[in-house]
Amino acid sequence: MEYVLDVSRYRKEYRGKVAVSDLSLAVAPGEICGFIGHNGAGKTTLIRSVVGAQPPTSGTVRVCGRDVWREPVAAKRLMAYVPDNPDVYDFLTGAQYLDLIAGVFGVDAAPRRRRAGELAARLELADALGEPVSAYSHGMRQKLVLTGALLHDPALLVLDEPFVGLDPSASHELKAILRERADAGGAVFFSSHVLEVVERLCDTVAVIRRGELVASGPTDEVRGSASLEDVFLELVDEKDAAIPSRR
Amino acid sequence: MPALRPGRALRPLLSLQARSLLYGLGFRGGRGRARLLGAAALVVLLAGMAVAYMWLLGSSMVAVGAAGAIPALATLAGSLAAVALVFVKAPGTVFGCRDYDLVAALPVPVRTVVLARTAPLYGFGAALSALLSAPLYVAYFPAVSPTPGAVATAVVVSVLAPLAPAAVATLASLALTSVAVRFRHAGAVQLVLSVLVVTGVVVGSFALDGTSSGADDAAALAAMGDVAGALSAAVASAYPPAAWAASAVCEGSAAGLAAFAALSLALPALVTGALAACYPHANAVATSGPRRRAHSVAAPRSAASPLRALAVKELRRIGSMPFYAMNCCAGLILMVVAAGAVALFGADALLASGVINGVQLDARAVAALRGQIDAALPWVFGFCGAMSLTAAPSVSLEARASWLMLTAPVGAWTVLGSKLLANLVLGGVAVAASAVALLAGGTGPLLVLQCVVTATGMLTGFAALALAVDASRPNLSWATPAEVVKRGLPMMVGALGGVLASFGFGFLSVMAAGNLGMTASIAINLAVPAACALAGLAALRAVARRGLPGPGWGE
Repeated sequence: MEYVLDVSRYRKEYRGKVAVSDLSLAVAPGEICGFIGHNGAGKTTLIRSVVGAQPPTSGTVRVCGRDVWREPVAAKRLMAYVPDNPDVYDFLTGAQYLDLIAGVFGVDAAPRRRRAGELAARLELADALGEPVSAYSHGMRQKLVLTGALLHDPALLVLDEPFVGLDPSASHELKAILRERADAGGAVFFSSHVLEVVERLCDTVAVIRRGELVASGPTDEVRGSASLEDVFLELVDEKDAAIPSRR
Repeated sequence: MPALRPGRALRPLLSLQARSLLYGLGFRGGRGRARLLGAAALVVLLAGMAVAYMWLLGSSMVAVGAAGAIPALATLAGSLAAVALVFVKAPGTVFGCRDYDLVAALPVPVRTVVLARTAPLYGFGAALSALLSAPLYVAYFPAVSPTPGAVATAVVVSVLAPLAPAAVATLASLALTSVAVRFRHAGAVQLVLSVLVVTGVVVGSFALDGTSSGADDAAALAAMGDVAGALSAAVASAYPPAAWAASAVCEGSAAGLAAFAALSLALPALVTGALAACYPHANAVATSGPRRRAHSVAAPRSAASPLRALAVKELRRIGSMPFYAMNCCAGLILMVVAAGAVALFGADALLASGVINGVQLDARAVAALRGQIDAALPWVFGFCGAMSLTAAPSVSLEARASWLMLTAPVGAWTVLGSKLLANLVLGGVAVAASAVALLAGGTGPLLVLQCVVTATGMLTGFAALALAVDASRPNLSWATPAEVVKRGLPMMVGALGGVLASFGFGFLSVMAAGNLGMTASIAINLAVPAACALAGLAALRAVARRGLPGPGWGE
């Protein structure tokens, strides 16, 4: 089976300091994969390499078989990214931002209009699209970036802490959108600190601790009979006991 | 927490400004010394050129018997330099600051905050004035056998000269920015307003020139007594305080010195006080966005290409940031105004209408210099093009939004190309408008072609070079865009390099016209800008092959 996301022996160092080491994971079509870990564990580091924003020190990242670092344009065409801080250009209106993304991803006017309209309506953003982004709240920016990310119907959707700053109804809608994408054969890979959401939403889960993958697999298998929170804390405690602190 | 005493608070705030300058030049934690040395060398080179030019100007004025006009001219030169400096630098540093909330929250009197923001501008203005005045006085004093008092007065006047004009320019700049930001395309509005202001100054100066010299130059000179008297009268009519300063230096007038010093010290104090009294409001006015209203969100009929979509985004960025547009498009404004002036008055009439560099040119002298004038004219446009580099800080300006470019399914060449394209679109409009104006004014098609090629070539070459510098090592962590727009190394390398190259190649062209004939000059005017453009594009291409750098790259 060809995975939508296939990370193999990924390693990232910053000036000699290892941030993530020898990490491998895969996300299949139709799967939602939750990526959890404590602050500074290496979640954002891996995600930025997956989306082509930061090169790995070694290892490979493939999206639908395309190496992100050897065929970057082809690989990026197949995915979309929603960062943890949805910083977009303040000088554009929401609609202009969507035009920009549509232009960059080569989305024709008709599908762009239809998808943008649907998504903006679902995320209650439609009335704000004529406003400059500088007037948007964090949550509105998050919704705008999400709308832009889905315009080109990506095979892989990568999100970094997507639920931060969203109001309850938008959060509910986002979960529904992610599930719909997976049901339609796409794949979703997102990081989160909200373990309850990961537990309920994700088909698979990957746990990272101090740059190393300590558990991964179907959510039910990783969790067993306990809650994901209990398992996560247990994994973290085991790891802390087994490995002396690097600090 | 008790408020810091103003004196103690001023030092860290000024230090912050200095650190910001160094950071903008790429000097971080001991790294970047080579850059700093390079920038310093460039500044020294430019200063040397300015000093040499002013000394030549002063010497030629002495040679034609106009030494008496030098003190007034020195004062005017220092004042104009300060006005230009403040007009470009005040938005984003004195008002409209991104870090306003941070600074406003400090336990420091507002007056101190304002002083910390304005003092560097006044300081730079004073240094610039001293730099421009000193060589003029070096030429002047040997011709008049000065007293020690006159020398001391000249020093004082040189330092004081820019203060009052800088203060007025600060308020004018605030007013202009406040009007511009009311509009949706604030940068474009600011450019239009600036064109109007510059055109007004040019037309006004010609009007003044017309009234001071009259139809018969010889008769006017005779009526005024001598060349120096005529020049002094012209300068005094343009800027009366220059006459007070001149009387203090030339005649030892204590009243003139007192009036000049009082004006020079009182106006900045008044402006600082006024700004301090309304600083929150002034900042809010200068940073307020356009009136919000719902706009149509109808999609375009067809999908834009990635290059076009990105170039439109760049143009929108320029249009939304008045100080970015002003810093990077000032040369384009000058280009159009220069073309308009040549079209309206003709290059010959402009040169023969007054005193150029201290030399009174008449129609006969201008006719004798026809070849050199035609050789030099394209480089006026090359100079304007080479200093209009919106692309120079554009990679750094991506900053926190750089993830969009890094994750977009386009190559680095497309991203960088879009930034260059936006620059060329703006430059192309200015070049086209200038060409139409020149043709309408009767300038020969071959000369217009040289102007177009020179302006376009220099703009393309130095915009591409500056963009390559920025793309190879962008400053994505700036706190305020002024760091990269006003003080960034790419801007300095691109604009100053372009200006120096324009002077150099212009000189080469004039020399070729004089020694080898017009064909050689035309060849230089067409081939050199094209070579500049190709070299700049090659440098950009090489950087694009390495990919776009982002946070975490190269670590």
